[in-house]
Amino acid sequence: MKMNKTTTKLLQTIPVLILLAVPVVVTNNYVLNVLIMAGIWTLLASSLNIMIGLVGQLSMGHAAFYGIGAYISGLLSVRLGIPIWLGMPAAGLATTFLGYLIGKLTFRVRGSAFVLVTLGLGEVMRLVTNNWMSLTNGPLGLQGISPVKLFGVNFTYKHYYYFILLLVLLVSYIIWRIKNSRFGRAFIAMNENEPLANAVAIHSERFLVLAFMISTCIAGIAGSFYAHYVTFISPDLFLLSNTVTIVVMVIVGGKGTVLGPIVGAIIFTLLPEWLRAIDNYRMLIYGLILMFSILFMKRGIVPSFARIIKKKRGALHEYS
Amino acid sequence: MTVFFQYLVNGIVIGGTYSLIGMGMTLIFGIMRIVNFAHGEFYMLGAYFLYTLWAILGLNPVLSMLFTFVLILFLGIGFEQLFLRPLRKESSTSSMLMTIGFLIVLQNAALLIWGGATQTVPTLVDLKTFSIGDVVFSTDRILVFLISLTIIIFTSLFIGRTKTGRSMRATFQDMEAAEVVGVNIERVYSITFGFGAALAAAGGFLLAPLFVISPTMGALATSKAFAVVTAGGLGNVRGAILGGLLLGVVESLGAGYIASGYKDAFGYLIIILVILFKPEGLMSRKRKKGVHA
Repeated sequence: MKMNKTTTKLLQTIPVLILLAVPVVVTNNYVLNVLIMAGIWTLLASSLNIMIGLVGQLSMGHAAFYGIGAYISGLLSVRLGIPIWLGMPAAGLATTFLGYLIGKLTFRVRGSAFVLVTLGLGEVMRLVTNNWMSLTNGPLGLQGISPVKLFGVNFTYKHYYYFILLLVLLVSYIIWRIKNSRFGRAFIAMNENEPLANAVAIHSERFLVLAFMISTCIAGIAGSFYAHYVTFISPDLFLLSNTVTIVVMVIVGGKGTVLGPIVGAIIFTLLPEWLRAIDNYRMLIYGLILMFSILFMKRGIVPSFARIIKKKRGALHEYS
Repeated sequence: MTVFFQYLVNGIVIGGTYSLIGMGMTLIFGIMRIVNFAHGEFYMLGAYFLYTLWAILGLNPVLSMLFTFVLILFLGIGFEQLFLRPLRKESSTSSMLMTIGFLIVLQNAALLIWGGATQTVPTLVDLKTFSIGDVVFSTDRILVFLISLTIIIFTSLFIGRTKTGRSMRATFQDMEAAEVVGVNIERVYSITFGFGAALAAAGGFLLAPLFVISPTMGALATSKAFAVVTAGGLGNVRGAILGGLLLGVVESLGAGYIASGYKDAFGYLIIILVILFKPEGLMSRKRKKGVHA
């Protein structure tokens, strides 16, 4: 069965329409809150996917950029009364610059050095925010970040939902464009055979830095959103367990695909809500899921399903 | 000046255990080419096994340490064979992620078994202090340093003088060539991982009586192992020994003279500076890196 292009396009808009309709149907604030958190995690997982999935570099400091974005936006709000509409671009720019700096310095050595430096960044940031009492209020956290306000309207859950949905759609579109652009093909080429990619004049270091900048920028923006949504931030944002959660989302969902990290983020935001009764075992279960999905589902959920569907279609074609 | 020497001595004592943890990690990296994120968890288990065997079950402390070492050795070998071996053909990212998964599992299993509250392990000997000049030494710390030194020497002999050690060095230098001349690579990998894990556990049970222990203590140890290994050069055993001592001293001096709140950040400072200015490690001379005994 072949569908023409317009039907396919129409079918693709259906999920978006459903997402748009959610707050009309769902008025329960708890559900909306979970969905908003899923949106934040989606931004984080999708942006980390650029590193893990597209260029094949394991960044273990993603939570650091998330936290830095949150702290920049939060501090601007609490100390200077600056609203999110300036705070968010500031957070994005700052994390992009930091990404540039770190990328520029570490991609010379690649691989494990990159892992170590990004990992160290998170820990150093946690220590700094814990100890720099006069600026960050230390382990007590930063309170009283202004909630989002636009044209005199105070944001409610519904508004936050549309705000994060807009960001998620934008980021997903950007990543889809990257994947299908000259950059994306360069990333894939590098990931598969770097010397060869270099030989055909793909300057890998520059592309890696660029990828990292895009990735960290999105993480910073997600942090800024979080700060203004929850209105309270603490050094716990920098915990390694946050980075690990994001990594798990990307791997289990399916690295390298646009949809994979989204599916991963939704699963691993909803799962803890359902597992609340056995909350003590939650991280243990995460760990086991990660270990066994690496072992038995190397590609992740989305690519595995895509393959099954393709195979079925292929089989149909053969028999028809 | 006395204060300086006191910091120096304290740093060297703690640094000896950092050397152990770092040697374990550098062996694993050098031979298997993966960063072991679960390293600190083996360190944590080392501390908890000693706590269980000695403080709870009342076993002889020396026997408890030996048991712990052997148990973690087999845990490491088991993990390597079940979870890392199937990933041999994948990229190293898969293996690293696998160790991250194991990290989460071990840490949370420990949390469920021993609880989240911190525990203390009694000191190995009667606590006495003596001083040389104005520098104070305490018996328990001296003992910890002596045991670390013994394990370091035994490890060096193991790598330098035994047949297994020779296979390990051969694999490090050229995996394929080693395989051609009949080295059992799979066996080398398993033993390396187990032995590296056991060295981390040794660091754990040696430091346990000096500090409190908790299920989350591993994260800090992993980060320190990273610092030691980066400073010494990835895969360089002798570098790891010196790197451990260096980190101990830098932390001790930094906490004393700069700010104690940032004590644990100095390791990362070392990592970042070394990667920026001497990515091959402080010990490197060109073309002369390898698993030295």
